[in-house]
Amino acid sequence: MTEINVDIGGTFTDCVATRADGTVATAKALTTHHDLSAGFLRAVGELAGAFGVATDELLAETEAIRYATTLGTNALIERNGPRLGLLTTMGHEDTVPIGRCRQWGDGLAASETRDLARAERPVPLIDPERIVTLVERVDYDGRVLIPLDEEEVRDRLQQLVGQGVRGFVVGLMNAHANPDHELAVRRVIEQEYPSQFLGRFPVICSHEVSRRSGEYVRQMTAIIDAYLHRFTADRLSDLRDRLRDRGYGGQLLLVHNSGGMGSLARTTPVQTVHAGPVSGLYGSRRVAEAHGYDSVVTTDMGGTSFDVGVVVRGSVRFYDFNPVIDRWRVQVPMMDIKAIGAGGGSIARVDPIAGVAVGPASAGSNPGPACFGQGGSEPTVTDANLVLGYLDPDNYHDGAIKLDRRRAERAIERRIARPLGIDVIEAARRIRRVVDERMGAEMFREITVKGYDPRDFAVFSFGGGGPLHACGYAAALDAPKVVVPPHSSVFSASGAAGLELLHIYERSTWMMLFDPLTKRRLTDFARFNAIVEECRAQAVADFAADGYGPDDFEVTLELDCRSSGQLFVTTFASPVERIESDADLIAVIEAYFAEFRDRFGDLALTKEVGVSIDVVRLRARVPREPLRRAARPSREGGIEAARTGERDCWWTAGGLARTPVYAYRRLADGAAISGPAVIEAPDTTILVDPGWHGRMDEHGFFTMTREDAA
Amino acid sequence: MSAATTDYFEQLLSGRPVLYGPDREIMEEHRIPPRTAREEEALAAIADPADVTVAHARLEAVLESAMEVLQQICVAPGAKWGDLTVGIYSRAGDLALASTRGVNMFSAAVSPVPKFIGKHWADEPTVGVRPGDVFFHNDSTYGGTHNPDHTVLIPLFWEDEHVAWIGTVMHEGDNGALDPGGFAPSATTRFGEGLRIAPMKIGENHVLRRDVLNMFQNQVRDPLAWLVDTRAKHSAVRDVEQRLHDLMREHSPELLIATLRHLLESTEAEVAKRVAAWPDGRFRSVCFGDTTLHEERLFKLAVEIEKRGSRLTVRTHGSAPQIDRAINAQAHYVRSIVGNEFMAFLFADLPRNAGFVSALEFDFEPGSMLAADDDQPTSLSMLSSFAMNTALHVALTKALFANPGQTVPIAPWYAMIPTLRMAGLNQHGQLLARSAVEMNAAGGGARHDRDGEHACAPFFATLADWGEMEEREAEFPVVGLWRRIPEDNHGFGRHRGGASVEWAYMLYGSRRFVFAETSTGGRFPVTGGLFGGYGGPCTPLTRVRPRNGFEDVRAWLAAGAEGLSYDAAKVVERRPIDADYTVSRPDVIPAPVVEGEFWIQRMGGGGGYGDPLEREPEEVAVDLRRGLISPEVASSVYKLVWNGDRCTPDLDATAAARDAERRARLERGLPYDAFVAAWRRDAPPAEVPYLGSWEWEAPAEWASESESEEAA
Repeated sequence: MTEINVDIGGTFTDCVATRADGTVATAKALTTHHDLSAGFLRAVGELAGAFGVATDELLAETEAIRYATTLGTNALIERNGPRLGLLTTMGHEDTVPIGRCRQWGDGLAASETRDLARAERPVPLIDPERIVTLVERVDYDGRVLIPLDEEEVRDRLQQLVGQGVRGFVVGLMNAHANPDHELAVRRVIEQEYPSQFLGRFPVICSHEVSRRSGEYVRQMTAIIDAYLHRFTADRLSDLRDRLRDRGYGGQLLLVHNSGGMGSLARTTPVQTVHAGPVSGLYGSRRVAEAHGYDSVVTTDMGGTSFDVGVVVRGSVRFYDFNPVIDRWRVQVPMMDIKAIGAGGGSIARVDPIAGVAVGPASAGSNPGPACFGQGGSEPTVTDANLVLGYLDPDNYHDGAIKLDRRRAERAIERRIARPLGIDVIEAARRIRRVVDERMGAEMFREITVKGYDPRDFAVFSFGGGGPLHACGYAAALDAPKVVVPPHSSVFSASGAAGLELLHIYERSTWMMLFDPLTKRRLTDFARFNAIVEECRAQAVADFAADGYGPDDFEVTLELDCRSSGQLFVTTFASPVERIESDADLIAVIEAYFAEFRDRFGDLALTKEVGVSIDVVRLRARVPREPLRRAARPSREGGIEAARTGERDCWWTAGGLARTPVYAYRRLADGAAISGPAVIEAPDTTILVDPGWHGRMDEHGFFTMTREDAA
Repeated sequence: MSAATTDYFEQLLSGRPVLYGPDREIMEEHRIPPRTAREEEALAAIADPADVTVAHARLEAVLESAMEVLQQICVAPGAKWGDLTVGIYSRAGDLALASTRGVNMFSAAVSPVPKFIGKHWADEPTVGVRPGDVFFHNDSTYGGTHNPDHTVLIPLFWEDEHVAWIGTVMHEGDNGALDPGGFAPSATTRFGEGLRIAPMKIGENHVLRRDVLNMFQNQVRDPLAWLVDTRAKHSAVRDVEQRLHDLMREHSPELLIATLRHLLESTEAEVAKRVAAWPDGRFRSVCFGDTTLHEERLFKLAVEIEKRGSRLTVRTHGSAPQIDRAINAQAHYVRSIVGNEFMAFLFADLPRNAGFVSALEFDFEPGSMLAADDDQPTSLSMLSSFAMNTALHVALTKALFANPGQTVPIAPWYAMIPTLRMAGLNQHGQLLARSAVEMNAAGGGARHDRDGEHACAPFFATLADWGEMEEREAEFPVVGLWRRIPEDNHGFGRHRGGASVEWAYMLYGSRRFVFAETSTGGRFPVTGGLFGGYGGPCTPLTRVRPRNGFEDVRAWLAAGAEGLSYDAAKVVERRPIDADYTVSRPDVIPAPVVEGEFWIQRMGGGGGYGDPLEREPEEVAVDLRRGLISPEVASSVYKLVWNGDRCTPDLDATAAARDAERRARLERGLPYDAFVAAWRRDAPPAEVPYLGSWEWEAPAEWASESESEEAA
């Protein structure tokens, strides 16, 4: 069975293909924004060339194309979505513009959220003038307080249409508990403005994107869905049609940010946002399982940012249920990936407190680091790496970019070394140390906030810059192992290989499990089970539409519970799908206690205040075979056969040292290398720091272990 | 008398006090003390300066993580939405690093607490400071902000050495005061303000004593919240302790000690250095509060900034005297308000710690409302000190106006806390005593180059949240009828202030519940404008109490809520249901409410910047279309002339109207002396109950040091 996994990014379209015989090929092509299929087919052409077949032949034999994209994110950033109108409950029309007050800081680095004098909200996705109100009201439990007036709906629609809107979002208070009013508004829209009148414009009701409480995040989710609607409805449909024209007979499966995938018809646009990085995180999960790691922190260091994700076997803690997309907090279960402004292009500066500070400002790719010689004059992390000898000025990005060491030295001298009264090497060393520590600190935060110990984690390092700093940020984290996967720079695309069809169904509720103050406990099991059944029925319907029967998928139940009065909930896997007896209830309560204790510690657990359920979440997936890892072609010769030379490098321990340089491609299975050493791959450079030992395995994974942990 | 006899009686009379009261030496000293020998040794042991940078990054990550976890597991509503902090203090007790998010004032106000413990309890045989000890505190006369803010503090040991303190402060929903909901507006002495705990040990060997916790729970209305939160705070500081042990194990205790000292010293030095770049001079401003919580009374909060070289002195001479109301503030708290201004608006890039206030000088009048004695009630010190903050902000902005680049000139941020407080049985039968968090929706001041942000953040916590109304309705027996930006709720100007919201909460699903409200600004606006901009409006409280029970209200809603105008003024004007309509000052002690009763209140908007006549007509038209301003304001303040429903500005007519207004201003204008003669009154109006100085010439005793030197 041939599979093609694709990650369409803002700049490059990455492809990884696996054929039935286990052979793997990778390809990279420029993303063609005007016609996604052009860049994609170019990359497929490269893959076909690598396999020695024609493009149409490869497509014809392909059974699955899994497709991750960051284009949704780009569309949001570029603000090129349609003109939308929002219909909302009278009295709450400022919910979205205000964004829980804190919205001005959502999506910004922590350092950017401390200055009120510079607080500024981003340009809204819906102009406040295109928010109209309806006099209606539903209470928290779904009871209607003020009925909807359909005549008023018509008036308001006319108002929006008069402003030229090309899509409607309906976001009414407590619609998650009772969607009748939202559905009535939809009916009126469809009656008044059938598709032949305004064309294919979206109508998105908030209860359709989320059945959880939280009017701001639910409405924002609906708005982003509508905003990206054209992107999925038109561009992805066109891509699917083009692929069919070229002989592809399978489904176009879209990677979801939930860590699963779905058919185009079963995918909402908001589920595609950040799918690329999530694909990498999910791939890491599968690889970790195959390698026997229970706890993995994934790191992707590029030119401007550093992405961190956490994966722990059997845990549900790597989800963010209210993630921020661009600058907008939404309400979809998304695999949790955090980004900070730390990359090769991050700019170093003198700081009155820290001495040397790095980022979040970046020189980007244009002008780029000073050593690129494209006009950049600020010292960057890449400049520091060059000055310290870690990069080959003639072989950067496989020789595609020539680096100018003198320019790097001058920038560091002028901006850092001279003001601090230190030499250039020392300044470069500090730049590197500070950025490693920043990345380590972010990893630390992500791990500890989820209740884990960083020392239990292996670090997965990919992206162009990750392996160059991995020993540094792993040391800052006190983590003992680093794993660099093969095809580091297209790892996100290959991560999609293991994805399963997955749908997640959520319902907000308010259900007390037990309450010592009132001496009550849950007795209405039927109410709980009815919610689960409603979710399951929806799963059956959705999978049926994709050709799967009720026996083809598996479900797991998760609950969001909280001790009485807590705002934030703790998510855990329910040990039972239905509560039929007191024993089941006890099992659920104990599972909550266990998760809470494991995450926040014994000290914080206060059993005597009672526990309630906030959200019931059903996860339905079509299981797949465990990941079959392809072996790479075996190499001949010992370690010396891979050695390409040596150069002077500066190390914190030991200072200047002649350091051996190896070619990644020539390293044989089982090749062992002790630091200090430099390993050059086409798309990245791996640095083995002193005190670390590396080993290549038969699948191309290079694993480094800290000496004291070996 | 022999020396021995003298010593005997000295020891007998003063050696063991009856009460270990607030320590004046600690409370009056805001400067970082000189380095200890241990700190000198630790700093000398640092071979690589990058180690300190690295340790700083690690400490920030540790605190951020602890803060985030704490918010996830605590109950106090204010804390859930940002009213808390986690920090690391030096061994001497100075807060060296606070979490990035949270309330800035804690950074400058809490240091006296560990200092007190170190000075009085460390060597006291019945108390002591040992590994595993847990201390509690909330009495603001010993440090901290006000009594609803509860501190949990532990000493950090490395082997046998006490190297630092770790603490967390959180605003609790109830403090067992005369009034529910944390504050005590009814109090006229400190004895009505509920819990007031001097620093005390509540746990040993990392275990909180259950009997002690029970004693505290027995004093508050929401024992559940108090228990959960105290355990959560203890858990958070223990978590930080473990991470700092890791750091010291990996590096050394010297690195931690050196880093804490470096952060304090470098922050203090950088504040002083930046201040030195400002122009020298004296800058004054004044603001007024309008309620003492028991009666309407105008009280004055005056600020003078004197800047000479790197020295900046903040004076409050002429401010109102302390009174037997909960609005007094203590000097250390007012210093922390000044520190917040520097952290949130001026030098936000620097780490939050005690170095900010250490770099400044203060000259407060003892016995004034801003430097109240220890026996005064202070649980609502925000009402006076926040008004002082507005005056401070204006004075500092004037000082900075001629120093572009370093900071951004910005009109006053709305600085008050009109938030609904609630207590009683909720719709699920649970007992609650909490406050809503609309106070997080303060309108931002207009900047010199653009409009202010609407409903943005309180001025003391940059990234606060007001949560989701749907979640509040599921937890509390209320319906949020509206929470929207009303007309004219901000300061007008060339750049307008950010508006805030008007909220309306209706009791729903409970018959045993009380509402309360505590704020100023019902008659005298809280927010001023800047350089020709207008201040924000007044924000009274409106209450609508149905006469015929909830079923009457339910029927009215079900029939389409005819006349529900979603605006307090119009509701009062139209009176859509048979009810008592009351408009009052926005401070009401807890009052039982009937189901269907609703309370309406505005949060204030930010001040405007510059002359409204200079605002672009199209921008005024947009404000008008959006309902941010009324047609009356567009016409009378901005002199906008427009056409049609879409408010298209008539540019020529607008220009003519503005020219006419400028000419009228010139005609109204007077020479300065004539203006003063017409303006001056030598006493406050008899009908205005007033507190504060009324001097037109400053008394000699207010003379600044430099003035005294000049006179000499």
